[in-house]
Amino acid sequence: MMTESQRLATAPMGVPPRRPSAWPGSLFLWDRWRYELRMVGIGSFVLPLAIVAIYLTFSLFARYGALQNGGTLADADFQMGRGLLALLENGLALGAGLIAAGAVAPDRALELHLAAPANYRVTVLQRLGVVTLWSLIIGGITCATISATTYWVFPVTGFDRQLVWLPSVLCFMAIGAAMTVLLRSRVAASTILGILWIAQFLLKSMFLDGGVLQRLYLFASEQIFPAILQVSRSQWYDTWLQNRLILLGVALGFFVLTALALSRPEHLLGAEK
Amino acid sequence: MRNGQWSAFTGVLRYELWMQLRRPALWIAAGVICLFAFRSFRGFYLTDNGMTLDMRLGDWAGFLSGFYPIAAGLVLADRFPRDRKLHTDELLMTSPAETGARLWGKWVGTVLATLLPALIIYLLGAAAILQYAHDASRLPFALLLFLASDGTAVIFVGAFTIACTTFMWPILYQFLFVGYWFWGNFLNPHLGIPTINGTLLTARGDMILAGLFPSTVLRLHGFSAPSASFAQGIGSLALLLGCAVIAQLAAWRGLVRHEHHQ
Repeated sequence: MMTESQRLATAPMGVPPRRPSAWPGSLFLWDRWRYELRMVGIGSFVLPLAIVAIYLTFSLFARYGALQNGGTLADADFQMGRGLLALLENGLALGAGLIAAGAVAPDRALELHLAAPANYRVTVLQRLGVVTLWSLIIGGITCATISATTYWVFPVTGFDRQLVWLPSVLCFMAIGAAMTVLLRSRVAASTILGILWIAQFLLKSMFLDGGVLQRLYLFASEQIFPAILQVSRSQWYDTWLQNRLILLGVALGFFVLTALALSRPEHLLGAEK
Repeated sequence: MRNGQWSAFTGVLRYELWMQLRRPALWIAAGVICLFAFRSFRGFYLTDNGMTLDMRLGDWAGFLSGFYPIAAGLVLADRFPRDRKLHTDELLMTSPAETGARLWGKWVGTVLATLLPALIIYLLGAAAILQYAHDASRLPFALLLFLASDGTAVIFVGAFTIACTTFMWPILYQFLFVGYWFWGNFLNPHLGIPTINGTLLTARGDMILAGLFPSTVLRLHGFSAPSASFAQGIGSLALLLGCAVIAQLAAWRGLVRHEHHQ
């Protein structure tokens, strides 16, 4: 055990020695979280906010465009509401997925990390947990804010409103994380997410043709809207809810897959640099 | 380009070409594109639905040029930051190869390599269409369509990806790029949101195809056919390639300035 004088003597020049904490456990935990936050990078926390700002700007353009085209104020608000629905369902999802793929990307000092007593899987899952939590906070606040205004246009209430954004955000995050770990490449995972995202728009008819793909369609709320306003709720609600719940299950599956894949450290070596 | 720099350029080009071709990410992306592209292929291109052979080939080339560049841009997003991440950029700065030769070599090499999977996917589809029409003589025409639409789109996307990632965080770039691709190529111009879709800057190349190869335009009931004159087709091609070169020049200038400040 090092005495206080020995500790002071061995401290590097110019660096004040840290006093031992009365709660070493909590200090360690705080330091660890601070370190993990820095590892994930400030950009991962700013990007979702930037996405909200970008979609908000485009929604305002849509509102302005509707007014310019001779639409009423209600039409303009409706167009803005559609833009904000797109933010919730597809904007936040893509950003969250790319960030999750980056958070679990093989560490630069992976070999060193695998030799350390700290479990690599726990470390990576903590990083994934941090970015997931942040995405959920931003998504929740955005959803609550839009709900409190007149710009909420999708005809569901209560907790169902969370199902507009939660399944797609979690699915993109889980797929991004699982693909990064399984393919040992963040870029491959990002590319799959990008293709998946654009395919939802370009191949909409293929997805909405019924069958399995319709149940797995990631942007169902946005694509069935506003057509559902013309039909009774019983004609679309069950299908929509089924789609949302299946997607939550898919997300859970990919998160479990990520955790399982991380338990094989030897598989993680030799990742694409 | 000075003598030594030309050999540096060709050396970087060769290296980047082979390195990109050996990357699993490129082929995984091509595989995922195939899964989506060929799922409904037979039902649309290999049935009697009133489309001429040129229309089938043009639509197939146009579909791929709207879809594949997403994969190209995302795969290429780490090519420049990789040098910084592995700290090989400092080593390369001490070599006789100048920044320009390395940057242009990286662009040409990676773009050529990224075009190869696209060409394979395209030829698979084009071969099936030609076989269906019992007319193999249109193969050179099919290749021209690929170069005009997919080739231009990947060159354009590759240039901006390499240029933007010299100063931008790759994840931010990837998000903005995917958003741009939808906004600039597929967003309905009548929504009221300003978009470059439908202008000469539409990167997926439907103006090029409509202008240079009018026989490929899908003039069928229920399809919105783009219309463009020959001059507009040439203009779009020149504008996209010109923008690609300007992006590379800007990145080159930025890198040289950055190195002088180091």
